[in-house]
Amino acid sequence: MWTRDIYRLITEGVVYFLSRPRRFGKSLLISTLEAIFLGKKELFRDLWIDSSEYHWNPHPVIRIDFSQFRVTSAEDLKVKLEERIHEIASAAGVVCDVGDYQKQFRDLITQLSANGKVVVLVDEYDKPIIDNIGNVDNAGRIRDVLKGFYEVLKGLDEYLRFVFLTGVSKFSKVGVFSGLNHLKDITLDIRFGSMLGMTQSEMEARFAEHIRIFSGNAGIPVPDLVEKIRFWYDGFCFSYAGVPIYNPFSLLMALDMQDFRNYWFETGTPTFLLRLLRGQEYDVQELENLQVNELAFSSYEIDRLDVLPILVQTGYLTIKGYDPTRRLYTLDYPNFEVRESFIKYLIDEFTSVRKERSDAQIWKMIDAMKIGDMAQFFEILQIFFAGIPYDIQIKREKYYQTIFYLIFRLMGLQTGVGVRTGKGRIDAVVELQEGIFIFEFKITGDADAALAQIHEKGYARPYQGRDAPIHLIGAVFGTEGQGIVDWKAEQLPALNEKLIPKDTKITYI
Amino acid sequence: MYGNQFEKFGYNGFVGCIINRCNFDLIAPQGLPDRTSSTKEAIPMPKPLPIGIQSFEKLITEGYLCGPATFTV
Repeated sequence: MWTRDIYRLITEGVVYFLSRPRRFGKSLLISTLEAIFLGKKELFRDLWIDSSEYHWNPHPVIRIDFSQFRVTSAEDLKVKLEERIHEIASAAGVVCDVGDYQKQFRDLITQLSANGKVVVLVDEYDKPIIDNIGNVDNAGRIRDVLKGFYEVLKGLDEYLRFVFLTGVSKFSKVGVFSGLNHLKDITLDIRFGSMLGMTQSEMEARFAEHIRIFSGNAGIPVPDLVEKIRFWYDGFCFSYAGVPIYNPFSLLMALDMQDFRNYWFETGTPTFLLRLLRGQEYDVQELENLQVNELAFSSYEIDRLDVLPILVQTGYLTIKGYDPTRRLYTLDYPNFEVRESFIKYLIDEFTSVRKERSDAQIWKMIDAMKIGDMAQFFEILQIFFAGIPYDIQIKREKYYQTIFYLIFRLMGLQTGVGVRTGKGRIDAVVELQEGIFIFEFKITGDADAALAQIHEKGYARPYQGRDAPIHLIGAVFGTEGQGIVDWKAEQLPALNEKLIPKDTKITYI
Repeated sequence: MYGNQFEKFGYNGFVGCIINRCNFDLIAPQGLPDRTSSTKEAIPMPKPLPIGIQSFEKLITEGYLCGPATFTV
């Protein structure tokens, strides 16, 4: 966060909206804005804004942090708003307790303006809606109260110096902010793309001491450690031409704990999003390298939640590329932390294997492959398919493909071995030192047909120059929810061995 | 959470010296006798990180923005 960006913000506009994922420093930005508008110049000594032409005249500040509100109904929200208005009024020595929350808010602004134009800072504007999103009617009534609250600002331009609203999600302007005529949404504004979070160069410059000590303690050379930190935590991007940004929470935690963990991801469970993905039959394979137009960043209505904009706004997906000619964005998981965690949670949501156990099962599958024990491999793979509800909401074939993709994707992420999955071509290839495993899965037919496809399409051909045995594996899912009902494996010899299949076996589960 | 422990003492004016990341007692302020054992390698303590601090005033008054490891400018 640079005070130069903040200076630009407060000198070039009046009413702003900024959406960022959780733990990105939104509240700290609000706090910094508050300090500036209260005229606390001494706090900014030696910072950029201190040498700017900013006048530092104090303004009355109304700061409302909805993360402090725990509301379950529209009435509840009105009460909480009135309480907060009274707190601010009392601190300022004014009284505004006549009428409803809208009139009280209007009175508060007009009375405070006697001491200068008023600044309104709203943090986590969307929390009352998000907290109740499971109940659409209730969330809608809460949204209407918020809409009424912001409508107050509409006719008070002459009393307002600055208005800043921030939150994670971006609900429809019509739904919440329709009263704010001059609202400038800077969520995707390239000028403010790196205002929150940290860039690579900032990270390396600011935390050189921490990195050096981490490097010494972990026994990892500094360049390798820096690359590992980047791989785990960098990669958020909030504009089409923006630089990658570190999530500050994960970065600071990793430097503090001197360990790589899923710090940011664990601060909030995306249960609602996962259910939405499943409920809307979204193809989770498409979440990687997904090309979209700018509508993917649009706002949404409470009663028509579209999973893609929510994934972007909550930070589980981010901008990875932009084609200006076609005006197409490429979205993907921002970094290893988010990718690995999200896939684990998807496995948890789509299968009966809990996220705490998925790593262990994946490693058992790898171990089985290393010794060529495909019976053991399929026994473990079957665990992922056990207990899937019969009345799953998407077609069974698609469901199996999804689980299959997730398992192999996590295998690649967890083990670091080469794992490739593909749509329409080879289902999966796992490259181990002990051998290369080519998988073809079928919903109908038998394992022989799956193996025949591998041969006919020449899936093994690109790997036959290598000095490692190639295992061809065909498997079939049952159509009655039994999981894998038939599999067959065939081994092609390594480069210097005779070209004869061996250890061909058929097992019916 | 050794960062919090530093926060308690206040970082400025102290030179952190620690031989065990979990042992807070070994944090020695500058000018006081070095209590670290000469038989163990002393690992210098980095400046505490402002994890979870959402107040700009707190960042400033607790010294997170001072010195070369400036977090925000």
